[in-house]
Formats: sequence, structure tokens, C-alpha cells
Amino acid sequence: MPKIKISVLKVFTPEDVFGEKYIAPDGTVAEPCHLKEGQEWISTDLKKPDGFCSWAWDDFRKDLYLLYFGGDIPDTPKGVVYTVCSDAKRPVCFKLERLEE
Amino acid sequence: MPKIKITVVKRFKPEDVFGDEGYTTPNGKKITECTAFKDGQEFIVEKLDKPEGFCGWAWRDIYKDVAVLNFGGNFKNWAKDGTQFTACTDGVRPVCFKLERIDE
Amino acid sequence: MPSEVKITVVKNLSPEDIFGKKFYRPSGKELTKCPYKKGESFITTDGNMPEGFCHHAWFGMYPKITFIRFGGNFDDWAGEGVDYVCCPDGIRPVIFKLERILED
Repeated sequence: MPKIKISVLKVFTPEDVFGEKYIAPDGTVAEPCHLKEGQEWISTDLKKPDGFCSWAWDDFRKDLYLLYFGGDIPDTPKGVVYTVCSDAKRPVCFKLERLEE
Repeated sequence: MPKIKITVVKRFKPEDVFGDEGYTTPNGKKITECTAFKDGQEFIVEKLDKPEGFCGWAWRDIYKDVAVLNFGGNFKNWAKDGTQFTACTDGVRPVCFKLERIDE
Repeated sequence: MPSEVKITVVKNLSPEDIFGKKFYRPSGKELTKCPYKKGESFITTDGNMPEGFCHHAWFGMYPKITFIRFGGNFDDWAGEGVDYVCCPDGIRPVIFKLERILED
């Protein structure tokens, strides 16, 4: 079965979203996600790479699943899905690619 | 876009999961098999929209499989091409579904 | 801090329970029960999947794991910090009990 490559396309900061710093109710200032643009992982057998964020993983697992089983969505290149994690204070955009055997 | 047919294959009773005592909620309500569906009931999915009256929780659970079939994927070596078997995640009274792609 | 969640296997259903007969993959190989044993248990770490746990089952239960970790309760359903979840495998589903682990 195909492996899937996950790459970080874009890391948005809280300032990008709100136009100013985001301060939590307890006074802490929200930092951008620790992921770095260009960072890559390979998922084998639909498994989460070690240490990868569980929250983001759950957000786009449906897309990985679709690629893994040979599905292709319209309007993007074959074998590719662009997706985003749901942390709206600091969303991260990912590119998912099916690596053909 | 293809249509997807959903068929209710089997509804389990709490007794199937927990044994003869079945399941009673903390406030004393005895739970039966799922009442949102009937065995053998069929639904048609068009344009990936939830069929009218289909349970929202179950739809969330099966949506990823419906999407794979909708976009031409197949569950190789698991179920026949164009089909999939999946279950809703209600652990007290699960419901099993068959999904089938209806090619135009 | 969010809590950890204990996951315990409650019931392991077979393809015969669903279809009333054996289930064969397209390759002809028989699909049998999932290897989990009743009573087997696992604990999350920082809300992450326990090592070696089934990825597919984890995906199905993750929304409820998150709900329970952050203090959610289905009071009229399973009681405080508890729920039951079924994995999305429609051929041989496994039912798990989820329990919030309270810190001392």
C-alpha cells in the first residue's frame, strides 16, 4: 500500500489571524505552532509518524485515508490533498502526497 | 459524481455487548438497540450530502469511507472494489453499515 | 491539566455476529475476529495513542477521548467521565470502555 508524505506548507501565527497578539484568559500569550515550514514526515500503513501532533493528525486523517485507498479529489493534482489543522488561533497548512510504489 | 448507497446490515443490542444484563443509564433508563435505523434500511448519498433523516453521529463516523468511495478509491484486499463495511462508534449499541458506489 | 483516559476492551464481535456467516476478503482469505482480548486495557499519554494500539480504532474514538480528557460527561448516558465506543470496523467491531483517570 502507498506511503503518504506530509509536508508543512504554511504556519500562521495568532497575529495573522487576529491582527494582534492572542492572550489566553490566564494571561499567557499564544505562540505559533512549533512545526516549521518545509518539515516532512512519511506515514507508512496509515500510521501516525512518531511524535507527530495528535490533534492535527485527527484533523486530516480522513484525507490521508482517501489518498491511501486511491481516491483523488477534483481541482488538485492527482494523489495530492491540501489540508489544514483546526487550531484556528494558529492554523498550519499541510500538503499530503501519495507516494506511488 | 457517483452516488453511494448505504445499507444497514446489523444493529446490535446492548445485551450483545454487555451480556444478559444489557445496559442501563445512570438515571435508570434501559437502552435498546439503535432506534434511528431499521435493519435493511437503505439511503442514497448524492454529492456527499448527508441523506435526510440520517443520524448525525453515525454520519460523522462513516463519512471518511463514503468520501473514499465518492472520489474513486477502493478498499483493496479488504472489501470488493466500490464497497466498504463500516460501523458507527456507539459502543453501547453499534450499527454496522455496508457502503456501495453506484457508478453512473 | 487535561486527564488521561483508560481504554478497556469490553467486547469483540466476529464477522459471523454481523453477517450470520464467515466473511472472506476479495483475495479469498477469511477475516476473523480482531486479536484484542476482553478486559485488556491501555492508558493514553498526554492524550496520545497508547503505544501499539490500533490506529483505526484510535481514529474512531479520538473525539470521545478528547471530550473525556477535557472534563466532559455524558451524565445521562454512561455517567461521569465514562463512555463506551465502538471501533469503525464494520466487519469485526470491537467495543471499548473509556474512563477518565482522576489524579490524586
